[in-house]
Amino acid sequence: MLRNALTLTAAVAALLTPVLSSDPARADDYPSRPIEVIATFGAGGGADLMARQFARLAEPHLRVAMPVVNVSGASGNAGLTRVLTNPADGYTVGTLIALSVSSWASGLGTAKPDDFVYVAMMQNSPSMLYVSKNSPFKTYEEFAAHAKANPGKLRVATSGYGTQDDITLKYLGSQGVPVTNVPFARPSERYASPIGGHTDAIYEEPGDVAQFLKSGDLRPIVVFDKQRHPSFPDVPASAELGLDIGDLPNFRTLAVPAGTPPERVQKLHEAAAKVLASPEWKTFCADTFTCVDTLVTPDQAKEEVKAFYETVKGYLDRFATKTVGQTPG
Amino acid sequence: MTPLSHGLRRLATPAALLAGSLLLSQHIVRDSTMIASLPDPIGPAGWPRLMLGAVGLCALIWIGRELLALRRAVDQQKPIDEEYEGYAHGRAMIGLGLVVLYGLALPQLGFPVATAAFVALWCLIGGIRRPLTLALVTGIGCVVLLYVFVLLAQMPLNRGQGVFDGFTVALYRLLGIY
Amino acid sequence: MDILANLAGGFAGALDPYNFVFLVSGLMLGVVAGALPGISFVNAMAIALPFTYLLPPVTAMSFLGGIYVGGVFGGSISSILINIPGTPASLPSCWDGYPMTRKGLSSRALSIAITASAFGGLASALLLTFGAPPFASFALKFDQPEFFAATILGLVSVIAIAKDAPLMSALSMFLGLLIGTVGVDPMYGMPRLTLGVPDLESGINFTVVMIGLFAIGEVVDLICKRAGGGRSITTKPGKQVGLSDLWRVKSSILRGTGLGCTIGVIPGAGATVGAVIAYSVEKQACGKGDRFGTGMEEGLAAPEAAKNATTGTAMIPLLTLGIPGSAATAIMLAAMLIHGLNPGPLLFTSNTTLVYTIFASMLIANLLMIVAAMGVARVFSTLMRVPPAILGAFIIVLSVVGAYGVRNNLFDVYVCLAFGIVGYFMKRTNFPPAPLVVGVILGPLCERYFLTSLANYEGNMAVFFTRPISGTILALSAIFLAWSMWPAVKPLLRRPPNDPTHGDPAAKEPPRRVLKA
Repeated sequence: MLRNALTLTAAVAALLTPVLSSDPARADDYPSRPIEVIATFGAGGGADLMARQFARLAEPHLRVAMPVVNVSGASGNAGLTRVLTNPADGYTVGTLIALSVSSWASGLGTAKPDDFVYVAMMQNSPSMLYVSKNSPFKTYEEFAAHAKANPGKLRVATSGYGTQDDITLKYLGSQGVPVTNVPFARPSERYASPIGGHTDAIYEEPGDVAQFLKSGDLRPIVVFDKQRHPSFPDVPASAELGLDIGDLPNFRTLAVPAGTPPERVQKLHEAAAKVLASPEWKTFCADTFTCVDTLVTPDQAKEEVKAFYETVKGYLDRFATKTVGQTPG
Repeated sequence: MTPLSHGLRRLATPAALLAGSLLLSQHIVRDSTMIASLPDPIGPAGWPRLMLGAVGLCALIWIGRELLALRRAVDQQKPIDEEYEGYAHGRAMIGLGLVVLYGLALPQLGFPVATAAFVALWCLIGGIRRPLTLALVTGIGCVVLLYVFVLLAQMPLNRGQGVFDGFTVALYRLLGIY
Repeated sequence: MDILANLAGGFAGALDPYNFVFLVSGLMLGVVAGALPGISFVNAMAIALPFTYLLPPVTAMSFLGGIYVGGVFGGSISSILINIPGTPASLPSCWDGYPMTRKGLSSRALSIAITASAFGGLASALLLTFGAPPFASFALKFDQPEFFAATILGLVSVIAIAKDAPLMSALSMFLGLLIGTVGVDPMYGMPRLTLGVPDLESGINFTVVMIGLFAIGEVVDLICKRAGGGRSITTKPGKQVGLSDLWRVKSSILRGTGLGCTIGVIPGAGATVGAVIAYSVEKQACGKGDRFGTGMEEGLAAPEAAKNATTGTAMIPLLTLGIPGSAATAIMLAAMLIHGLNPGPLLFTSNTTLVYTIFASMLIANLLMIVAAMGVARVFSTLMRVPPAILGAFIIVLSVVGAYGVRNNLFDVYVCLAFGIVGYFMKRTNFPPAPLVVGVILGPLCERYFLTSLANYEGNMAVFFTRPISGTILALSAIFLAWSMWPAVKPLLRRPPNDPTHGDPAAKEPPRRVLKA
């Protein structure tokens, strides 16, 4: 009984041995089996959409299947742990986005920017502040004036305390625009709250609220960047308003573990470059306001990520304890 | 079993729950100084502390009730559940152990090997003794599972470590999955 | 009528052979995936997502809609036949569905479940078709305090179900709520109760807990009961149901449908909460509550109707506002976004045909579900004749795959197996596992809504009571709790001083198994 089962297994193993021995991972035939693309957030989010578009458009170039796997949790760190624990053989690619990097800066997760090789910088966009279409505030100046007159009365929906959102709001507070941070952990609830009139504004990157921008339910009043966004020429940049907070972009990269053979990284990078140049991707990134103008090499991408990490750390130190948790009123 | 020792045994679960909730309430967050610096009165630890309190309270009431029952232990009887008459306790423990082993073996042996071994062993302890049935059930079952979950659903199931990784990749190639 | 003309166009689109084939295959896939223990319809939808990119948008949405409708029902097949909920939403269907199977009434139970589900789903789809815009603005009125109140109602319902063992149910529920707090907190992102295990930072998923608690204990029993050969599951056909039988449970179905339709709109709550609340309301309302848990048809019909009644209305916030309330609708949102469709008010004017084809597909799917579900249920009844050892082995493998598939995380498999062992001993000691699962589902929601409400309303606790909708729901919860607890409390108050065995629940040995699981 058991012995028979074992004999059977042995027989199958014997049958497979020739196939097995002819399969050392040869660099020149990479990729020879499916490449797992790990989306570090749940289905429907920005990172997930990027992973799925990338996989779809890169499959013809790499000529293998690229299943997208959602490993969500802990600000993307669950998925990144998975990327790091899988073999560094180029068969696992993960999405690594600004939110995860800033979570490292605030002490979550165990990863560091140097643990990864960045295949490509796929998307990038600044964040904006939006009000609902029925809001009495037409411009950022009106919003700021009201906040000044009524400290803490204006409520801004964000993704949580200690995030880029929180840093920006604390910065505004330090510039005499005190507002209350109302964290909504679920994006869908966050978007609904200003539209339903439960909060006064929302901090978000434009791609994630694209449908509300198109329908007119949300109206941007300021973009936190050094210059205006080409898709929103009428929305003032924070730099124009004298706000020095244009250094918290929402980038999305594709990453593999450090230690992946460089020639495999190069193959992935070339595929990503082809994807980025394709018309489908151009439409996709235009729709989500996340186009990256110039192709960035893996080394440059790593520098950007490290710089971002240090920036966030700097801000967190600057605003630590002083205003954390924003007591309202 | 004397009624008293039975009663004490019944106290063990609620007592463990009470002790556990008290112990955990000291270890809600890694670094409690971080919480203390927050002006927020509830903070990240507030809700878990409330729940621990509720669990502790329930456990306390349970203990109280058991103590009351212990006082009347004279007419306390071991509950007889007719559903569990003739129940193979030993086999149940083996079964649970096997389930745990399966979980532990998954990352090492990979999904195909671990599953085949588990299905075969489970059927064995469940009383399926004919080698042919065993081989067919294991073989066909596992191949179908692999086609559905690895090929169609493209789930990244573990392939195993070292030689088992190689074996799994080879098996997938043989089955046309890769 | 504009809407009718649009709908006629929608039906034409949905019945287009290409779309129709995908709708039916989605439906079948959903029922099968739902019915397989361990694999839930959310798994199935996530798995199907990449395929939908290759399809035209209308077909993609019909396909996913089919899986959704079929999958929400499918879980009940395994609930009824083997007492293992195929999906969390089918949890309450175990409580009276499985006892019916044990009485040899499995096909009667299945027929009632299918009809109730189809009715609930159809009513909900009609509401989606004709009432989407007003319902959407109703949903927008709900803010965090209202959501908080709704989750409290859900938690109260759990206690209300367990009339005879409120303490054990409360303890189980609080344990579930506690398990729900594991992981990073919703406001600061600070890890809690992780005890240094990094994997726990992502939290403990309720599907994983449910699979562990229900599937593994049941399967171990499968090979251990009646020393020797193990038990084979009786699937006597039983008496067929006629229309008159269904007429008798009509009010249960209607109550379930009404509750399900309302709860479906609330984000986060979804099918599971709808079914649990419907069960506990039914227990109070139908007049036979004391016999619930012994195979009452009312106790099966109400949660069945409710859980499918959430499917249509859950799509209202998705389509009208672009706000997904549940994992299933989030996957639909992903499918729409990948196709370049932006759900929201504009969708109704810019893509009228698409919207009405989705509506028509939902209506058709619920009608076809009766046939599809009957077919799958028959196949599953036959599968139950497979020797229990073989059946059990594959249920465990599917559970492991399902637990893994929730987040593609091996740690979830360990969590599932750990809860499997806990569940086995809970089952042996008659400790109710269902409140624990509901606690794990509602706990994180409850905390999030509570904290966000406070952040949004200047830390003022009174906001939960002063806002009209949330105040009303909380008052209803309190009344509901008092009403359902009264039979348990009454004897305690009237206990004659010298009768020790009367009022003390612990003196009654053994406690009745209320939450059959």
